[in-house]
Amino acid sequence: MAPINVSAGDLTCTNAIGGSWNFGTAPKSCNVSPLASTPQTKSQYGTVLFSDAEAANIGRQKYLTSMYPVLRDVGRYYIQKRNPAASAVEVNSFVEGIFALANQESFWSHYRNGTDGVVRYMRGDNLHGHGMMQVDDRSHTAALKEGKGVDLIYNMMYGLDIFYASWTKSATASCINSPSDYKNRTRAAWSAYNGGPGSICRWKNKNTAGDQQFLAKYDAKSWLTFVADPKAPVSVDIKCLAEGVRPCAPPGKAIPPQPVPQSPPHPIESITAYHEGEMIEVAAEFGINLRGLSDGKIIFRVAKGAQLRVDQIKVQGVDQEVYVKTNYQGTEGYLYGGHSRPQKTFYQWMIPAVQLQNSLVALKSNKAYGFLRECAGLSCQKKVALIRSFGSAPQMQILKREGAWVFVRSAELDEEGWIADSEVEETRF
Amino acid sequence: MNLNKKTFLKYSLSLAGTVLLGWVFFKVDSPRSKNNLRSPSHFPNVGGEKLNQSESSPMAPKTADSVDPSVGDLGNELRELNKCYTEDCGLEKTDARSSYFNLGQKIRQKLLQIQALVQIDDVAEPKISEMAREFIENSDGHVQEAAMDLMSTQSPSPENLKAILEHVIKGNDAELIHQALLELRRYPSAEDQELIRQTLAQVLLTGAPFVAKAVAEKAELFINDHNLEFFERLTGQIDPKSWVAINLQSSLREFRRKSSAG
Repeated sequence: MAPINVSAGDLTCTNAIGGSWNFGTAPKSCNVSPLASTPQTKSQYGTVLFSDAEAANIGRQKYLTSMYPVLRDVGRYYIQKRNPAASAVEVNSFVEGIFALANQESFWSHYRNGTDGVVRYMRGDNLHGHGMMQVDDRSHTAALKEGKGVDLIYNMMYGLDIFYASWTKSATASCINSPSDYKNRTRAAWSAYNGGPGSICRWKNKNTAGDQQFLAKYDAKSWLTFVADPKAPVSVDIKCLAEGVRPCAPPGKAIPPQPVPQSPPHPIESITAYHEGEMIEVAAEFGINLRGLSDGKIIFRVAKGAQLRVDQIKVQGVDQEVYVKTNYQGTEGYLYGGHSRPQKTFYQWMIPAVQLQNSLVALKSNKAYGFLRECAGLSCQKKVALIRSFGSAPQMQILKREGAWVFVRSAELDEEGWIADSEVEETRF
Repeated sequence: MNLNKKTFLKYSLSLAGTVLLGWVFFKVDSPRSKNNLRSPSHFPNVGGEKLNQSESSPMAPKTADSVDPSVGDLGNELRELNKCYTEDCGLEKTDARSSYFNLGQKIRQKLLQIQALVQIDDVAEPKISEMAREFIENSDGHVQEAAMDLMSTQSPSPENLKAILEHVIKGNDAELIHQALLELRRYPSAEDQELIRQTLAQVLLTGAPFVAKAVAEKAELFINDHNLEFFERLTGQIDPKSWVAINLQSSLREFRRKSSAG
């Protein structure tokens, strides 16, 4: 089938291929790139790809046989994580609900390995729905752009967040006779998943065509006709993929070889916001200890406001901790300069002097927080970043002014945006 | 935004037209149209914000007796819209989810309008908080975000705190966590801090996975001298290979560095 390109706003669909609504396939599947890559996807999820190269029935049987344990174990993992006290009956009922949910949403389809070797993932609802759980880009754009729609386990976790919220609410819904009425709780949870929380009793009050289809699938359990062994072990490490550091090794095996990254590692400058040869000023309220080696013995403390030259930058550790080598009043040593992850904290420690040469602003002291925004014409709306106002508040460099607004850059947040002039005040450490 | 002097007048004129069109749109679109025409300079941009914030003169906070009636009208319109989750209001429906999303956007727009009016007039009124709490319970993250924006214009209260903890921190939208944690910083009392600490701990252990990860990522917003030991102990209960534990430990390390000047 010749690939076609279909646009869906920012989440473009490329190399689309078609197919029928059946287990493992759907009318539209799109290249996992640029949100993911074919080599990475094959490396991490090679055992749960639907192969277009195989005869349909054989491919379907292989796919469902490998996908069944994934759905089963993700369901168990999720409900036991959220509610460790859940009974075995509730756990099993929840898992049965997920089988039907995945059937109704996507016919269990997610990845497809095309005959051209390119991996696609399923898209539905006029391309708005992404993957197995049909995560919708009309509501979850940011998450989808972070890859939570294209990645199988993230997709399922994202969908289950919503399904589980309805599952718990269904226990006390007016249309449910008893919390142990799990079949009807499943129907209620899907009605809400499909139409929003206000639809939790839709299955009983209106019983739409969708509600009827869901019930039929729940009762028929058609997927079982393709699954060779419902008790087979899962072929991927659910816990690692759901909450751990990737790459994840399949259970009992070594981490699969990883594809070589297409782009080189980030240069130090892009991590630190400091530059060798430039002047910086100590910003930390109580100063910063000068150490003989990075993270080594303390020589003395350099007070807040002291200015010094960056002779060398050293990045180390899992948090990408930054140490600046300098010579302060004739003594050489290292100053800690913040870390890169999980949050950049550099400017809570030091401010690059390049910013000191320009007009600097910070949120007014009476504001708890503010936003950098995107503006179009006269309307400023979309939030680019949150600016908090506690401790060492981020300094923002004014790049230009327009009427009552200023366009600023926060190197700490690595963001630019507009903020009302009335929300900020000129500052300096 | 690119506003040079040449185009400023053109934009100003078009703003007046846009505002009028916006008003007409809402008159037609809202379930309960009210005869509440406001001057263009007092009407916020549809879906956006009033641009000339600096033009609004500072006022003393208004009280219950002096709440701008249009805020009340918008509140009534909001409640009518809210009924559309369970009643058929004839909203555009291209698929099962479209009307839900469209309704959420309409409610969000209304909340933003109210927030703009509240900020302009510096309204301090329990009913504003009630409204914010009502919509922070909404399952649509866009609505919750706007409701939190509105809540941030009002004084902290035990009810508002509970609403944030129950419906955002214990919710499943990780995108809202940064904003929620900032809002929680307005509750410094020992009693509130204890409630916040317990809720955050619960979320880190059994919360929605992406939310738990986001809370751990932003842990620097709530770790302090009083709860440092509590969260250090908590990391022992979390799988050390999980991002939740890794991020929480990073934040704890950074806090300790700050306490000892690096």
